[in-house]
Amino acid sequence: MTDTKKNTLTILAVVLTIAVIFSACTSIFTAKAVYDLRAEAKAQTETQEDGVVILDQYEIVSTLPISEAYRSGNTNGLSAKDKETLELASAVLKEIITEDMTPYEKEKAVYDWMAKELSYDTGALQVVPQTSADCDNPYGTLKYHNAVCVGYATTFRLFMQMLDIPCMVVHNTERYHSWNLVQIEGNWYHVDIYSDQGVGSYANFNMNDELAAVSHDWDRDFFPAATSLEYNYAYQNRVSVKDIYQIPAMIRQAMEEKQGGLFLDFPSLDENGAQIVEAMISGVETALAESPEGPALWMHWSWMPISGSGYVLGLSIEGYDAEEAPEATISEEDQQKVEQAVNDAFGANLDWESIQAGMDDGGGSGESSEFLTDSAEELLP
Amino acid sequence: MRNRIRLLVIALLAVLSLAACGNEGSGTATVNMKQLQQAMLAAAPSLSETASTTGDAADAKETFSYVSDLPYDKVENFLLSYSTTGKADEIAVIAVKDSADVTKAADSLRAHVESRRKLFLQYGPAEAARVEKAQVFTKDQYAVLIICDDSPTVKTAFDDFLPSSDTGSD
Repeated sequence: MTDTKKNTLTILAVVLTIAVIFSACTSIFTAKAVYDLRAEAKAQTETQEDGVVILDQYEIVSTLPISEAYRSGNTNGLSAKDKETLELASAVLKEIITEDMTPYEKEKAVYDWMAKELSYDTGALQVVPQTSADCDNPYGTLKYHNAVCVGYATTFRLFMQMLDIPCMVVHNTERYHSWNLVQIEGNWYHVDIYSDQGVGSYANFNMNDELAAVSHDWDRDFFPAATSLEYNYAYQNRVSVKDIYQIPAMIRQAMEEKQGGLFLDFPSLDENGAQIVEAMISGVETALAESPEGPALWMHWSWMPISGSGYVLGLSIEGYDAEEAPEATISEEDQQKVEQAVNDAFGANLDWESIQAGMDDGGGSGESSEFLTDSAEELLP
Repeated sequence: MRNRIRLLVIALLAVLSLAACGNEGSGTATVNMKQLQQAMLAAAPSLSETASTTGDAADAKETFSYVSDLPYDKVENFLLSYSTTGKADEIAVIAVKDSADVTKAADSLRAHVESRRKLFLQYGPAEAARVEKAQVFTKDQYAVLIICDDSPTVKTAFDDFLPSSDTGSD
């Protein structure tokens, strides 16, 4: 073999060796990248409590370090932000919690404070979301009183953890909403304060799975079952309705007693009865709107199905959202009874046309629209 | 021999340069998106507080990703106007480079509408009902989305702004 050929073969051998080494390195990096991508994809599809990203940008982060620091008194491991969060949360609990409270009373006190003090960040609903900083964690929620659902859920969980009440953050399967599961005396309950924000009607407070499933869906294999109604606010405070035409008077009495809400229990209710009830509610709303007090007196209401054929109608005289009302198919006789009941209770002089107009313009719950008559028709046997 | 090689190279270069000028687009120049946006917004007096942007913005590619999953290299330009007060109102127009992609652009807008509907079902059912009335249609290389109470007049404003042509299906 000539020297030229030897040199050529040597050069080729070196080039091939370099190429093989480069190829091997590239394969290793590619394999790692694929592994990382698969791990990320798995994290995004497998259900877990923390580390889940809602609406592609709001991450559910653990609040255990802060709550454990509260209970141990040792804040050495906390960041400056977490220390400030702990101070803000501690100040709230000091204001609203007393030692003699039961776990349920503590939970309700936290719910009441959050529903009243916080507002939700509508920027999350924009096509290009523009939300304020830290709107998805307890720091921003407690400091600025403005949050998206993740902020509400993680803050509520923090409070519960600080009070040694088991609590989880739940998210729906399509990852665009989060709320809580809380355990009171061995039973789990769904709590969605974000959805009750500004209204405080307890419509989404301590729900069982059946109630929660009307407007929420979640991985039931991962999260614990909520089967009890014992600490559901509406169920606990319901008032039995013996005569549906007494409803306007019952609402009037609740207003005079300055009650923020009223829960009416209907052990059984047919479709016609539901429409009559909704017509009276609409009549009351119209009477309130035309009252000297003006539009400040609006009602917010929602149906809650109870086992069997029973329903509880929750009313709050603090919020109002317009919704489409169904076309009424109430008999003339029932129309006259509705007019009589509303006018007697509120000293109004409404006729059926104005009550009907109120129904056509809308009335009732925004957050719990599933319980409006369209859905009541689906729910009723 | 050398002359033949030179001729062959020149011919090859000529063929390649012609191929580089291949017809990627429909041959129709896109309209001024900002002017189109202004015309469509002017036809929607019900819209109150909105934010608007077009494909000329510095963060256009990122903004586009909130509306459509169409590969951005297929987009000639776009416009987007949306409510900043938590409402569902929205106007979007995508101008694709190749008219063959306009159906895909419209499908991506329909997927976006479905995503918005689900979002509002959770956070504002009244707005979800408005999203369900969304109009998505195509015209030439344009895919259009309109969600607002004035959608008929907004559509008319869009149609009037463009040269006469058949409007595609909704």
